[in-house]
Formats: sequence, structure tokens, C-alpha cells
Amino acid sequence: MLATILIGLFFLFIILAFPIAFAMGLATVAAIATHDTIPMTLLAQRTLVGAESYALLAIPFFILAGNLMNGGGLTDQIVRLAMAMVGRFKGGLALTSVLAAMIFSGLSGSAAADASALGKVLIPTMKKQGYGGGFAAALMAAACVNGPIIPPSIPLVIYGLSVGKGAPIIDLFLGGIIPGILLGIALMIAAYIISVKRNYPTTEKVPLREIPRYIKNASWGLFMPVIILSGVVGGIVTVTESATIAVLYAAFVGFFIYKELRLSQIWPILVQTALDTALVMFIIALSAGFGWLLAVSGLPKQLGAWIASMSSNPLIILMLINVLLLIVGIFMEPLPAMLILIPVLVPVVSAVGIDLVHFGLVMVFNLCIGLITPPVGILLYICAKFANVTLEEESRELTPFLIASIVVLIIITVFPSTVLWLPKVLLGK
Amino acid sequence: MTRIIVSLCNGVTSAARFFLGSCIAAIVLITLAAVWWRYILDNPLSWIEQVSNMLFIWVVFIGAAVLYRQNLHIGVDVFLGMLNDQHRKIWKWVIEIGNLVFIVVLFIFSLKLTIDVLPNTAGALDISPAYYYAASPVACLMMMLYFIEKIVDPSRRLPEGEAGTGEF
Repeated sequence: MLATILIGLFFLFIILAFPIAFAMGLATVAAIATHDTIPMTLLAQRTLVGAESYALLAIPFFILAGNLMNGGGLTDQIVRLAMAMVGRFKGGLALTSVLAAMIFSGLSGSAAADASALGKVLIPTMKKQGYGGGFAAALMAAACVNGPIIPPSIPLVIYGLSVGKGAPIIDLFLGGIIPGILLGIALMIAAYIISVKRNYPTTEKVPLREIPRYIKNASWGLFMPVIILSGVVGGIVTVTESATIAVLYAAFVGFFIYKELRLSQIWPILVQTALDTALVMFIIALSAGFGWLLAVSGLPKQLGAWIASMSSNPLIILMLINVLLLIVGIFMEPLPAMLILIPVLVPVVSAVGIDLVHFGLVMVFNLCIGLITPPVGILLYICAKFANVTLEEESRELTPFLIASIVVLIIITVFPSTVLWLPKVLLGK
Repeated sequence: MTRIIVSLCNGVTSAARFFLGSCIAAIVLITLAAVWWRYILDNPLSWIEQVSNMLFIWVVFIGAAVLYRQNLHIGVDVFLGMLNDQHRKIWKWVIEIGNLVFIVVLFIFSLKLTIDVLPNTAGALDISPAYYYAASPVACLMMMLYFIEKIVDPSRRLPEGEAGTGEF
């Protein structure tokens, strides 16, 4: 009963266009109100405790570092480097978009941030060179799915915190690197095939011997993920602390190296970072009460038993969960979907011996594909806006990139070592 | 009357934005200080975590209130697109009233919680959790004020600015 009210009302409110955070809050209020013993103060208490975690502070820091880098002129250097490397091939600018999004993913923790920064530059340029607007938008959107997969990643931080033991954030970060590279390669193959078919142009051929110069120009940006990861891998700092060092580094590069960051920009960036943070964190805070009630209702246990009754083969269970997540991802943003489903699914997968770091990447990768499926794929909206095309025109071009993404999802599901090998080697576990 | 409410909301929002920017700056600075003290001076500061958490909670709630005024909380608006102008207008008010119900409930019970925990103390600083918890009733009060503003000023019913291009 409790679970029916909670989930039923939540979905009803979402469909009826209530903001996600308020839909969660209202469903929680209704569920508590109809329950005999649970007091309403629990709503307030859980909500406040939900926002209280030192590790969650990594979120505003990663957002701030991304915003500073963006204001600091790095985007251009990254695009130039990517173009020098892959622009020589058919559909050069399309391949450049994918590669630039991969590099950019290493600077920011978020897909939407990547799409806003890169889409603004690359989508209009692609159109000018004769690429279809729908194609340019769909490709850019698909390429930016990599944002939360290649570290740093806000969804992976949240997964790691929700699961706790068994999924250290640093393992998740390192585990995302190979799946992210695979996704980039798969998208480039798809974009290349289409470009050859449609005879899309190449860009200016940069002699190979000049590439080191481009790498050098972008190196300040390329160095940022190394800073974030190496301090944590070495056990010197925590993820939250490494995120502040990234902020300091981004400010230093923006002010003193590229000299495009102005003191007057700092204040608006700080305020914007606070608002971006509140947008994510308010949902997280309200999901705490929601998730607690869901656990009390016993639904996760029942659902877990149901999934476990279908098979005890880890691979089959993972595949079933993948299908479930893909469907959920069509209708929900990754973040609320994760917050609701982690307490349901993690006990199931750990019972059959699936590694929680592996599962984390499968889950985040899967739900992030939902960022490019209509009707709620936020990346589609961002990129359609820059391309000045309708969602329908963009969606028509999406199929090859969706297939490429799902193929990579299947690969990382079937071969856990694609995720687990790198953390094992670097952390010596 | 409308002018008084709008200028009151403008004043509250300017103060809130100043507060938000300052909190983020403060959190960054004290976290860097924590790293410095711990690794360079080998003398960890015990109060850092508690203060950062407190500032963070205030950022989340006050930020949520400002986002509420600017109509930037994310939702799925496919349903709104299916309605004609007249129905859409009515439905938006249904949503606003639903939101208000939640805001009022959260206000009442988070205020109650804040008052209840006032005598307790916790953490390295030995202060009352009420300093954290007060963020919620204050934010709810702001949102109630902004709700009144939406009634009197139609321009406040539309999204303003951007948020979230730095998230997910």
C-alpha cells in the first residue's frame, strides 16, 4: 500500500509536469499522511539529513571547476586539438565533436555542461560545413553521454555514496575510463560510416608532426583529470579535496595561462555554481525521505526476490536489469532514477556476486543513454536548440548512435573486466 | 501593493544570491585550508567538516528557493505541450498549488524539528543542529513569498535564466 501510493503518485505527478523534486516531496507527504504510525517530522528530518554529507561537497566543486574552465578559454584549445587529430578523415568535424566531448568529459562531471559548452561551438560549425542540422545535434548529444562516464562524474559520486561499502568513488572513476573510450570509438565509427555515405567534408589536414604543438596548447586542460585522479589514487587526498584542488587549478589556468578569465567573472560563476548545485541537491535531499519510505514498504525486497526467482545467473540478471533500466531511462532523468533504484537493485546484484563497481558503471551508463532518448532526454533539447532543429528532426538521426551506445553497454555488461581491470591495475587490488 | 511585493522579492533574492555566492566561496576556501593544515602543517582542523556541511545545506535550500522563483526546477513538460493555451494556464496553477502544499507542509514540520533540536548540541563545534535545520523553514518562507509574487506578477510565472547546464 505504502509503495503503491509512493510510486504511483510520484509517476503521476511527473507525467502531469510537476517539477521532479516537488513530485517526490508530494508523494512522500501523501504516503506519510495515509500511514498510521510514521510521523510527518520524518519528512523534514530525512530531507535535511539527505543533504548532509561531506562527500557530496565534491558536486559543487566539480561544477565550479567546470564553470571556471569554460570561462577560461580551454574549450577552444580542446576543439582545436581534436580537430588536428581526427579532422583529416571523412566527416572530420563529426569525429572532432566526439573526440572533443571525450576530452571535455575529463574536465567536467556532467553531460549537460559538456553539451552546452561544445554544442554552442561545434553544432553551428558543422551546419555551416554542410552537415544536416538533425545529424549534428543528434551526434553532439550522443557524444556528451560520455560526460558522466569518463571521470570526474557526478552520477558516479552519487552512486558511490548511496552504495557505500563495495563501491569506492575512486574505483568507479577509474572504472569509467575504458567504457568511456569504447563509447567514443563506437560513436566515431557510426559517424564515419554515415559521413562516407553522405560525403560529408574533411577539415584542414594538420601535418602529424604539428600535433604535439596542439597537445601542448591543450595540455593544461588535459592535465586536470590527472590531477583529480592521481591524488586520490595515491591515497593522498579524498575525492572532495581533490575536487577543490581541481577548482584551484582551473582558476590558475584561466587567470594565468590562458588569461581569458576575468576577476569580474568569478562572482557570477560562484552564484551560478550554487544554483546548479541546488538544482541537483534539492532532488537528492528529497529523495532521502522517499527512499527511506520505499525501504520501509518492503517493495525492494519483493522486487529483489522476484528478479532472483527468474534466474541465479549473474549475466542474465544483469541483462534483465539492463532492459528495466533502459525503459526507466526513457521516462526519467538518471539522478532520480538512480536514487530510487539503487536501494532496490544493489541487494539483488550483490546477492548473486556481481561486483558493485561493475554494476555502478552498467547502471550509470545505461541511465545516461536515457539522456538521448525522447521525450525527457535533456541532451536532445540542449543540442536541438543550438542546431535550430525540431526534436523530431534530431530524433530521426539518432538511431545509429543509440545502437552504438547500446552495443557498448552490452560489451561492458558481458565483460566486467572492461570496467574492473583499470582500477585493479592502478589501485593494486 | 504589487510593487511592494515585487520589490520585497527582489530584495530577498539579491540578498540570497549574495549569500549563495559567499557560501560557495567560503566552502572552497575552508576545504583548501583543511588540505593545507592536514598535509602541510600536519595539524588537522576538526571543525572544517561541520562548517562545510552547514554552509552546504544552506546553499541547497536557499538555492532551491531562488530556483523556485526563477521557475527553473526541472520537470517533464510533455503534458503541458499537449494542452491549449487556456488549459495550460489553468494546469500551471494546479501545479503551483500542489507545490505550495508541499512547501507549507515542509515549512511546518521542519520548523517544528528545528525548534525541537534547539537544546541539543553535536559535532566538533558543539553547536545545535538547529543551525543546519533552520535552512529549510527559511527557504520555505522565501518560496511562500515568491508564490504570492507569482499571483500578482504574471512575468514571474515564466522561467528566467538558466541552471543545470552544469549538472548531471
